[in-house]
Amino acid sequence: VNIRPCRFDVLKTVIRLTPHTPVVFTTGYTSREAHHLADRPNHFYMTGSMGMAGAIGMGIAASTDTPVVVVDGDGALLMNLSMLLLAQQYPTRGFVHLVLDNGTFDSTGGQPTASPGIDLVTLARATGYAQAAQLTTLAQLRDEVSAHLARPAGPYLAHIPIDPTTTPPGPRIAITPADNLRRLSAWISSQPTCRPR
Amino acid sequence: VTRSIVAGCAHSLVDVVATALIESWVDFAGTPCGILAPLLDGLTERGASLTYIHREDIAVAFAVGAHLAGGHLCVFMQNSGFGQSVNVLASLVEPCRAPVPMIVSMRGTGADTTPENRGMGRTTIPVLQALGIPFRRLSAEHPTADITWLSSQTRNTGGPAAVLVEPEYFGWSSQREHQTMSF
Repeated sequence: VNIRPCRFDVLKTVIRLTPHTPVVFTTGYTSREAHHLADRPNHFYMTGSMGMAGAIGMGIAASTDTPVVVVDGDGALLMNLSMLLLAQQYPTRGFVHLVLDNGTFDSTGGQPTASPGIDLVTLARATGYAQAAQLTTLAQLRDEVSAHLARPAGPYLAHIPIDPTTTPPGPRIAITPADNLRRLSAWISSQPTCRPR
Repeated sequence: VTRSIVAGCAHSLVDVVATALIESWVDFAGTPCGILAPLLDGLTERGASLTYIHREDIAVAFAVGAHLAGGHLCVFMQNSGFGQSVNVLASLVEPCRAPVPMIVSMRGTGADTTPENRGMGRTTIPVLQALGIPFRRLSAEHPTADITWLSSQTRNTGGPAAVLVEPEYFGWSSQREHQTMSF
């Protein structure tokens, strides 16, 4: 029996792997749960602008030599598929795009998304991602993300099916968007590995 | 004779505005527009780093990321794309106080009487005002000062700002549009 990992465990794994990497979390429960798990200065919680996490992440990646991790969702990515085109327009080495797919708009009440009929791995390859894969276990996630952060080789998308069961995401984000932006900007500029291009 | 004078004026405005833009920003990203086409050509001819992004709101969110990493990027778009960008401006750029400079061409105003553009022509300025985004129109008299204003406005206030470009500014006309099929 293939048991999908839950969002909580996926986020915990990603946060453990990224103490030195800017991470952009998508709108809704994903941001809230990540913030609840560990609020770090390298995190950006995109509380609004659903569908734009990848574009913000690519803006960071295109302006530095550091890898960037985007934690996206199926509903948010499908809302703005043309974001995928940035991968061929800005073929940055260290863009790691993780798409957590529970097949639902969890934060708005669990309504179904179109994701069961969409092959996101093929879409990513067709739109210019250097590599794309489906990851079904936490061990795979750990190995793949570690490898892509250590040896970035072009935009990478991982499709990660997760358990669709709704779990409490924790309280709303405490830090204001303006403070969050300032904090991440200061953190990036303080990192020797995040020097501007 | 009149035509060559108009073309000559537009050419020198392209020169002045493109130069001012390149002095203020390193990168440019956005969605093209017929009104801005001479300027975009001018930026390209001068070797500017310019990327055409297929949706304006993606360019705006990309600019927020570029700012986070110390980049200096200016966004350009037609006002139809400003309509597309309202939510990302309201729910990302404004609450984050992200310094996003925008060059916005004004279809549906002045010489542009095309019915499909009138709505955004009427709507753009009220929406800018409602969002609290400072703006000014690009003038023929002091274009360099207008571009410098955009740069200092975004950097000093840490928020978005816009310079609006009227249809006639670089010589656009609906007649010319019919001949060249530019949009």
